[in-house]
Amino acid sequence: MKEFSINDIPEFSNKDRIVVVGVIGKSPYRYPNKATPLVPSELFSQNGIQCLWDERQSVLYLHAVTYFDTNRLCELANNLSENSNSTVKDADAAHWLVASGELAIESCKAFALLFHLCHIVILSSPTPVFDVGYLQLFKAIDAYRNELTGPITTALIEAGVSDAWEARGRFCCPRLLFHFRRAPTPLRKNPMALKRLEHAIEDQIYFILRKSRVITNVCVKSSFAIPKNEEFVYISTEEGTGNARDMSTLVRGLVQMCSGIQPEASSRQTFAQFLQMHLDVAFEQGFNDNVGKYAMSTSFFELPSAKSWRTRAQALVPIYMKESPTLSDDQDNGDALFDALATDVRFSKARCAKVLPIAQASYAEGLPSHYSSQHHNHKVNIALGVVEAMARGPLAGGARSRLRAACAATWKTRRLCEAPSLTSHPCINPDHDGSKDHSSGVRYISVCNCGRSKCSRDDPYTVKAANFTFYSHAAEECGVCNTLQGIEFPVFQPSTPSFRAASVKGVIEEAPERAERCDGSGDSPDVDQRSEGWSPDELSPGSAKDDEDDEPPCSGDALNVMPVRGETVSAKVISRQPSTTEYLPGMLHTNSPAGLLPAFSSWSLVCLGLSSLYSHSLGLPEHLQPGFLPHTNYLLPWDCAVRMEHANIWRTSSRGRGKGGSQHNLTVKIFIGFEYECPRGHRFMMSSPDSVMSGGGVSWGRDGAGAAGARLAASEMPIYAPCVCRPNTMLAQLMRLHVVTPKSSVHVTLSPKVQPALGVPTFVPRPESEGPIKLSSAAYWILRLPYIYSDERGPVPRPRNAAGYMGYMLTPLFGLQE
Amino acid sequence: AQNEAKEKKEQKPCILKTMSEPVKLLDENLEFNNTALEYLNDNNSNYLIIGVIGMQGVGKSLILNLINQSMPIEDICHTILQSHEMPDTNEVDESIESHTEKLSIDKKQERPHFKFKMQDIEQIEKGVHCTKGVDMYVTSDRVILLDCQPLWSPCLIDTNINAVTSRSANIVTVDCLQIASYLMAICHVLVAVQDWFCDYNFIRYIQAAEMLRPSLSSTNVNQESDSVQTEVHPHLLLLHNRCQLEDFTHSNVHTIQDFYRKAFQRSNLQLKSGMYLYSDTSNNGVNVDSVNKWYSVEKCGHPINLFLLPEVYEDYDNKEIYRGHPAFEELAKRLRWMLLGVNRHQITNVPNLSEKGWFHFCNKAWESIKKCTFFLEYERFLP
Repeated sequence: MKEFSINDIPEFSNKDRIVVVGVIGKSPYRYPNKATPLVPSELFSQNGIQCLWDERQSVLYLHAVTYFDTNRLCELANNLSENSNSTVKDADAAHWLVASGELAIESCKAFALLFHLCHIVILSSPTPVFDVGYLQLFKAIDAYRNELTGPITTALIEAGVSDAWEARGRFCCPRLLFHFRRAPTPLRKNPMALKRLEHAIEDQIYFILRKSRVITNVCVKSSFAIPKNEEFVYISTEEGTGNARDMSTLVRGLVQMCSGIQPEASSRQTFAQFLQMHLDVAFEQGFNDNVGKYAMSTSFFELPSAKSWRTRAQALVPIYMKESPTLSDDQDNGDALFDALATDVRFSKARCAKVLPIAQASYAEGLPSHYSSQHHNHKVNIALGVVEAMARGPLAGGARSRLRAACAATWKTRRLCEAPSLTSHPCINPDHDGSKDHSSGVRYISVCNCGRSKCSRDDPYTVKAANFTFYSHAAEECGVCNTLQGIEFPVFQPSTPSFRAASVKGVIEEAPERAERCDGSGDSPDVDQRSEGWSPDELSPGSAKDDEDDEPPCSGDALNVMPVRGETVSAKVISRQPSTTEYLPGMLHTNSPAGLLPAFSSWSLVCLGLSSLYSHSLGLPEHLQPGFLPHTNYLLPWDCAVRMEHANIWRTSSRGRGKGGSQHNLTVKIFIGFEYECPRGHRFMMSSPDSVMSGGGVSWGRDGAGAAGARLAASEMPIYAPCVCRPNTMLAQLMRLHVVTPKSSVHVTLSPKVQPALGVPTFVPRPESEGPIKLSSAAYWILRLPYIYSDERGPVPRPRNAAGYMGYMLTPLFGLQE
Repeated sequence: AQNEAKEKKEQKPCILKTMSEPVKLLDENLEFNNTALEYLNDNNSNYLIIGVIGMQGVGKSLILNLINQSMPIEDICHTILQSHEMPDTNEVDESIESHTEKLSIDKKQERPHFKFKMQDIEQIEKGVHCTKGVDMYVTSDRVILLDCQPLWSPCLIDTNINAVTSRSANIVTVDCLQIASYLMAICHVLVAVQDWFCDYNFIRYIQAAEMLRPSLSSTNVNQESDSVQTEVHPHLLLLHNRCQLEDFTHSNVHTIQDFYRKAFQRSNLQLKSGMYLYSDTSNNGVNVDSVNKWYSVEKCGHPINLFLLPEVYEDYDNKEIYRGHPAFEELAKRLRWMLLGVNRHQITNVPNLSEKGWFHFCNKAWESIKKCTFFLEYERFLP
């Protein structure tokens, strides 16, 4: 047999009369050659029409290899991805419903061509059941044939073929024969039963095809015809398939032969014989498959010469096998095959088109003029829910993204600015540019520097507004703040109008390293600072314990002993003059480069007046310090045993401390209080890092109170603590440090250092080189801490709930100085 | 009084009827049938629903019969081979309807092994189907088996000859899609049986049925969670019946699994739920037994819910023939073992639905599927 491809037909014969037999249908994975036993077993590895010329019989076999062959289908599945080119816009090409429509379209083109070029078409099925799915294909082929009438006629005229052909476009109405390649198991050994089944199936097929109008009385109108009085269904028994690749048959046969069982000679005709009957008719009188009142009118039938068949095939093949244009979204370009076969895609498309406006309406329903991303997302989810419930199929994904885009477009003109404030609230103004200030609409209640008056605070967007501007306003409102004496913290003083922020790259680079260190050191993140920058003369639990010898060994009392040192530290440090052209971005911290000062002070330290302002039996009175939660308005007394060390201040070695020289011991009483403020304006004192002050002087025994005060002074207090109003969500912040200094020759000093989060620097109110802040004696001092901490990298995020790292006020905080 | 109520509850299972043969869930006109209610337990919420779909003559009823075998049959292959035989040759003249009825009575007496009727030889010869509508059978270990009529098959069209028009094939197609959607909605496991590998159209219909399935659990419009509501998707077991020697080769199993993985990549049906032909060693070796131990992840790729059952030949007892697969009995046993061991997810959003509750849900689900406009719309797009 001569084999060639339909796309490149050679002059394969000189015969005058040839019969063309087409083979279409499905084949299982293991037996890809539907055309056996008519043509030898061969594997075809690509889609197309394989032509095999049988010179002796004058029969040309056309074998359509399509995605209906499972071999090819597996390859299609392998390459199934989103990147398919010939698909409906928006359809998910990796979806089987899209792929199955496309493969059916492609296969139907080949089938339609065979219906055009053949006298007999064999529909091959792997099972003994007629596949109803073919009805859809046949209808599609019918529609496709009608659609192509025009181009076909043109092409045939161009090819110069005879008149009769022009009119009908084909040799005859081809006969469709059905080849079922497997018999039901119980019937295999029973030819009579098989014959009955064949007849039953013939009736079934004829009935179905007639009723669905695929075949008609006049076969000119149909794609194909079914013979009136001849058998057109053949069921192969397994043995009859004669497939050399059927390994199980071979094994079975081998076993049978070895055991001496003779293969039963079947009386049944083979498929080749079955086909021969039809071939004989074709060669002799031709087919006349009209029925009913048209039965007498002879239908056209022509056996072409090999040459003329070739001419016509060459004219027709390009028309059928051309690529269908990619369907764009808007135009339904009347592609008959697409309309008939891409049912799932068309359904999905129609469904999505219907749902999209509904979904969009559900998004638009009740929208305010401007709204947040949260509201937007909520509405989008509702709209997506509509799509989810009502859109279907491979285009649903596209519909979802279109819906999202449409909703986003709606929102774009109506969105809020939503820039987050420093306390993480979004700006509620409509989207605006830099000319307008952000506002989250959130207001907090905060207390002024001195603590005398409560003011309403706008949610800050800048560090300056949070730490400086608000307190300036509050001070004006309070009226007292500005009259009080205090200690000013150093700020940047511009000497030129063209001052600017310094670039503090070095510090930034250093920061990650510091972060690691802090993370690593875990519970005591201040260890390094203490050992690096601070003289051992400072209070620390470790050093204090060395001095137990002259103190009663009651618990905690060791902490009461405070060494007092002279005013030498600051004097020894050569302070560099701060820059007057560049200011420090962010706030001052221990790692800030020397010589740079912040543009404004985020801290404030004021003296309320005399120490007699505080009465430990009454606590802080509401009219002076409003907003305290009941029983939390007390400072803790701290009876501080003082060791005068001026005798050995000249010996700077720390080892000398506590050993040499005479010591003048006395006890001073200091009142301290760590005040927390919650966003609702609640204020309370904490008596230890994890407990809120409860009750005043009465509730503390004298000794107990003193010890508690000492413990408090030595504690690292958290910067954030849960407020009693809503302990889980509302965090109060350490805002004020109250210190009532004793009437004594020793001065209390403060060296406040705050690490508000992990991995951020330790913030201080003034450069460390200036030493601790010395408070005047017998006075009531209040150190107001920053509201927002910000280094050169930007504001430090605040913890959202009580579970996170709460930040710490590092010890040693207090000191004594002569 | 409480104790009494408790006692009543405990007694109730005792008066439950055991099924002697399957009853209709949907009758031949696809109307819902309530007869099964009396066999269902109102207290039991631990049950497994297995539905089976497939085209004509692929062996759906056979599969369910295999699942139903709690006691091993001595010679299952013989039983299968004999199952198509006519019990009494005198009945040939009778019409199929009455014939099958009679047959079922005979079967009950003769072969209690197979509860679901399978095509007899005459039906095979006539190319007609045996099961009509959806049959239901409750096993003693509370597995509810649902056998459905052949889907997308020619025999469905010519049953009511008078009404056949050019569109009746489309109507049949959509009816079948409804049944498939229905089974997807009410089953834990859907077994899709095929007898060759493979028809693109069958896979397409399964996915179309999935696409058309209306959202039945939409009663809870979840405003708060904002999450897109989750439909429950059944496990899909792709079962190939009548496999030949070469279908059992490593390369073939590999190919089939790759194919289905790709073909179902956009489907939500659960294709990886442990009902594997061989164990997935990378996943703690789920479902290990000695059957099919020569398959492995290295040779055949990661398994999916795919199972191959061999064709039973008359010389099944000839041990000398190389068949390339384990004995049919062993495979059938593994199939049953895996199906019964599958995760019994919640079918509706009602937790701990009892058997009766499930049945009422079935009724509701069929009503809403019948009313669902998707199917009508889909039908309009068929040529």
